[in-house]
Amino acid sequence: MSDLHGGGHRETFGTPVMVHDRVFTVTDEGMSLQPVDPSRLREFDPLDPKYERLRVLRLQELLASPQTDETIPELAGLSAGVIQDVRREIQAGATTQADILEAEKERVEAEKEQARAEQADAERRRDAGLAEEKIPTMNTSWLAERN
Amino acid sequence: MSSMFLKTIQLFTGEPVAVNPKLKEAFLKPKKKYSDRDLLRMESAVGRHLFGPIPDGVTREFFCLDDRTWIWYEQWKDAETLELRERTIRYEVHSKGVIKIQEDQPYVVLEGDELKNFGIATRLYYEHVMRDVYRRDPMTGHALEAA
Repeated sequence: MSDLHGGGHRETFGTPVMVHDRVFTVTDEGMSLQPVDPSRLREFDPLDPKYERLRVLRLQELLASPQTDETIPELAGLSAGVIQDVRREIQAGATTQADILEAEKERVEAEKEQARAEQADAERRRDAGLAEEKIPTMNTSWLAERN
Repeated sequence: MSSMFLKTIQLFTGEPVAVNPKLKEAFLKPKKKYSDRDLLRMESAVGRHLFGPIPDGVTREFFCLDDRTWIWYEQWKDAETLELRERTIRYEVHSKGVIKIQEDQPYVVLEGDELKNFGIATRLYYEHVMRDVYRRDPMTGHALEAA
């Protein structure tokens, strides 16, 4: 018995789901996801929560299969979408994960602080030996910025 | 931190601490919301290590920017001039393929080993970030049980 039947999600049987620019539907009792021509669809809302289950199924299908040149873009796009959803959830909600994230953030900041210290030390030593050398431009990309 | 503070007071006084409910609520809320940049930093702390050891003097970042974009960033010191150099590569994911975009270079559609490596990297990134940063099951997106 598939998840579609067993999980109370039978309403998704035969309905389309948008997965990173491609539309799928479950069209047979084998429960395989079949691509659908999007031009045939009307009133399809990919953000409707009832389609979420199919998106998860497609993700599981891709993660459980060896990658091919055709599935690489799809999995990259789909997983990026899931990560985006989790980010939004973290930002919107007050969850206990905040403590986990805080610990992780402190670890990352400590790592960056150490890198900065090493960088400054290396530059100090270099400047002492090469006073005439042109001082390189510091990286000012967003990664070096602090909030 | 806040609950620890309350417990510490309780240890000193020997009695449960009576706290104004509103004050308690404020204490137990996460102290801040996480910006996109905060989350990207945490994710990149995982992503930068997916490609093996980072050589001394090299800064590397790899992260998913949004639904379609993955970023590779490296900074290193030129051995001859001692100047800092950096390279940013943007990978845009489309339904039919992945486009590699570098400054001052023509767009390239990924293929062959480079596409395969990108697929492996994004897949590993997804699995590690979901587990190690967000404590989620990559297959379902659900929160992992605390150990």
